[in-house]
Amino acid sequence: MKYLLRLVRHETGIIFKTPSFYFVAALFLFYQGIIFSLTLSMRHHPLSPPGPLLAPWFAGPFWFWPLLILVVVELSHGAISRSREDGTLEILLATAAKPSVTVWAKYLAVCLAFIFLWVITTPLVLLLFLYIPVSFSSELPFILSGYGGAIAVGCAGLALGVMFSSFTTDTRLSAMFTFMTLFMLVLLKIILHPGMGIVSSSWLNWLSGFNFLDFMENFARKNIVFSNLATLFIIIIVSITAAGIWIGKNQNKKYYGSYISLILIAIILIEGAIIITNKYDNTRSSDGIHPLLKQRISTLNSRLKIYIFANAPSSSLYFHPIPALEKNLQNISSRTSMIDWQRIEISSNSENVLNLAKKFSIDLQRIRNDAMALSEGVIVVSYLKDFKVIPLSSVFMADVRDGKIRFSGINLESELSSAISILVNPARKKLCFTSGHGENSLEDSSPRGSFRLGLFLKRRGIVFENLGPVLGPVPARCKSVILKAPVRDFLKSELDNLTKWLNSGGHMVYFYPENNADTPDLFRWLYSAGFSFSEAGIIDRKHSVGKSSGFTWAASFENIVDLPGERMILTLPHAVFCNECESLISSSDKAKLWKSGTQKNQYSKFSIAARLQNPSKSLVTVVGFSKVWTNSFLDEKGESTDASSSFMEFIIKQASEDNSKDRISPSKIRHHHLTLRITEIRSIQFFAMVIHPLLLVFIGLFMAWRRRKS
Amino acid sequence: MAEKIENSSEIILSAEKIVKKYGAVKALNNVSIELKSGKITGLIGENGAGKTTLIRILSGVMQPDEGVVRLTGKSMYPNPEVCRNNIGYLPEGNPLPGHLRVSEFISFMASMKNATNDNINEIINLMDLEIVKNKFISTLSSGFKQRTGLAGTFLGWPPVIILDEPSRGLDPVQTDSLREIIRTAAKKSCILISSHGLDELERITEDFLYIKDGRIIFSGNLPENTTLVDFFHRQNRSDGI
Repeated sequence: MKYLLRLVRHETGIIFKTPSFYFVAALFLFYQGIIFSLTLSMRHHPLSPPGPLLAPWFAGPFWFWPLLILVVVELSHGAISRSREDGTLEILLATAAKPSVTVWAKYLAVCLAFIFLWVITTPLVLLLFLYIPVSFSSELPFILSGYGGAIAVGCAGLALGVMFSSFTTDTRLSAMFTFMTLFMLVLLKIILHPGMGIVSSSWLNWLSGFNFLDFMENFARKNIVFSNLATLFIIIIVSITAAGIWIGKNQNKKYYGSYISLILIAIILIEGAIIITNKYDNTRSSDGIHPLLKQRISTLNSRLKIYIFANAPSSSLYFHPIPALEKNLQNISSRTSMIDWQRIEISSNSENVLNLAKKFSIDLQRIRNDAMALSEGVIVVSYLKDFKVIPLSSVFMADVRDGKIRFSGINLESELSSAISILVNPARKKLCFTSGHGENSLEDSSPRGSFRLGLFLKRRGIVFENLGPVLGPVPARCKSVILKAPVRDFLKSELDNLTKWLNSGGHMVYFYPENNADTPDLFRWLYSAGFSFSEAGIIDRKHSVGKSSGFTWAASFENIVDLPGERMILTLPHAVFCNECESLISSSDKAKLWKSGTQKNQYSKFSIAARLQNPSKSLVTVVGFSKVWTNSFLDEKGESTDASSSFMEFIIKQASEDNSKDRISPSKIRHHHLTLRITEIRSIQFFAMVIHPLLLVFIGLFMAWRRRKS
Repeated sequence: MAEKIENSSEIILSAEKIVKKYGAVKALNNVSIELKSGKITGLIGENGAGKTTLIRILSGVMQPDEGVVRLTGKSMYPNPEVCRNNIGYLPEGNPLPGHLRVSEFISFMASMKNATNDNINEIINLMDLEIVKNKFISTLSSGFKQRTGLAGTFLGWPPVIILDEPSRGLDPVQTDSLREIIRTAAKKSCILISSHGLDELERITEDFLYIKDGRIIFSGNLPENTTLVDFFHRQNRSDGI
């Protein structure tokens, strides 16, 4: 230890007394100043990456690693090779210090120099907190972890550099080996991307154990992973030990054996660390799978395939939720062999892509045209022969501030869990559509038909069948009976069957037909259940759309937390009267019935959709309109331009217990959105990129002057 | 930690049946030598004869494939660092860190050899380095560089001093000076010098080791009325060279 400390002091002194080191430090600060300024600018952008304030500085999307590699190469490539080249290593090897001690000393000296480079960046951090209103104490753990990560990863890189430096007397060769190795380690980030074609999860797991970029990202987010630390530690120990063995090989005849042992031990240790981390590391619990989703996955008998159809880059300067979504999917799929996922290259016209799009009724062109991938992108969850399409708009949560959208969370686990529940349950019950009473048929592709509604249901994994007239008891396979705008009356026996169905706790949805219905028996039956309808449609001038004088108006939702702030455009819907019901959609309080005659100017608030839960657990939902779900109002995917599709999905899910959504809290995205004045930004940037590096230039000049003077 | 040993033993450094191979080539073949305290021994031989290999093995920086090296009777390998504090070694070519000042280099070497401040001053005075001690080594003349290297070797007055070509590149005046320094050092240490300067070597010592093709073919004092140069050439001729 005595010799180690003396050698460290000696080697450190050599580095710190060299003027060129300060010029390197000045360049480092200049580059860091640029990154810092970019981080600052980025934090003013509404799509600023989520996470701790300075996470992009310590582990930004692409910019930090070139500097890391270059500085590590610069500091380490000549650590030993230069001494070997000029022969001074022989002097050190002739001292009482062991060769391994000499190597450790040289390594620790370059580490100290590297740490110094990071320490001198702290004024930037302190300066930032003088300006911004973010709590320093809440950010401090992330900052310390970020510094720790940058230094730990850098020190591992330095160890590799010192090792290569010990193998050769040619400093250029050593620099190239170090650069290439570090470059490969950061390149793993790209190689491991699903698009690169590595599908073996064991390979992915193993290689990700060396992904330096993810290490730094983890540290920057205070996600200190045991295997990351263990891998860095093992790289350091193995590299420096290897260098020690190599330069002391003349003093040790058995160095080949030592190398083989070293490599074997390293592989075992790293693999062990990865296994231990995957099994026991509690620090990853934040990335773990929710117990409910875990339980859903355990019900899978075959592999579930998830496809992302979205037009967005895998990584970008600013935050985009697609990479975050992919990370979530990777996290889930890495923990189970039952889920595979892949991003579909939607720009491709390959047969495979086109077939998939056709199979899932995906309109590729629309997704291609959606540059941000947020309004048209979808996830398809495919299981055996069934599939469910989840719009990305229901996966990404966002809020709007200052007129700009900011993502606030990812609702993947909840959607995925619901999808698995729907797709996997072998006892899944169906929606049974009645027919034979002039209903809008799901097979009818005419403008008044409901073929597109059928597509809509299929895309959401909802199974349905045509029940026909209800001549017998409603089959047990039916979860809900749907009366889609019947215009001819039901038989008494049919209504009796429906009564029995409801008394046994069944669910039913009734849609009022577009044209007036000739169904007095059905209406009487509904009346006995507590429902009645207005003969005339409702005019709502207050919510009138365009110049329709209130005939066409935007209805708002009530008591539906899933559809906050959404609107549905309707023309003359019928009022639903029900005292005991829970209203779902209503007009404004300035609405009135068209052709109401005597009460010409009497305005009121009308409910146009309501539901009634009975003590027998039956659920009856009655909707005073149906036209919006005919083919002429839906697109080729069965989607509407307003909230009609969302509302249909809501009532279908309400009517079908098995289809109810699993409630899993979305993973929150923590944003920092700075609002510094431009002068403040300019002054911080000026300090970071000019003043701060110049200080180091002056120190370097001073050292050079002293050297020249002597 | 290496302990300082006293020059009490007659034979300080010995090598027995040393063999060292570089691949298939035997650089040293069954070499045995003994170095006694208070004596200067000259090591001569042609280029490639194995001088530097032998010196590196005796200095503790290279382990022989076979044989034993003993310092005051204790085997040096496999833990040569324990013995290295008792050996001063000037490598061939006198490699020095040019980016250090003379004083920094001497301080560093002194710290590695546990030398006292008195010893440092004594060596600086002996080597006449006072006037250049604040200069960077890279700016020194070859004479002062050689003195600086020797200073690093002599620090702590190790019982054994091994010098590989110490007079290379020196002018006659510097060589005279070096001779005096080595003679002074010999009062405190046993010295082994490898050199191609046969005349110069003959002025310092009468005890020689002649190495050829990895074997010691002569050891001891020169025959009477024979110069080292004559002896060297005779040895070569007798071997048919």
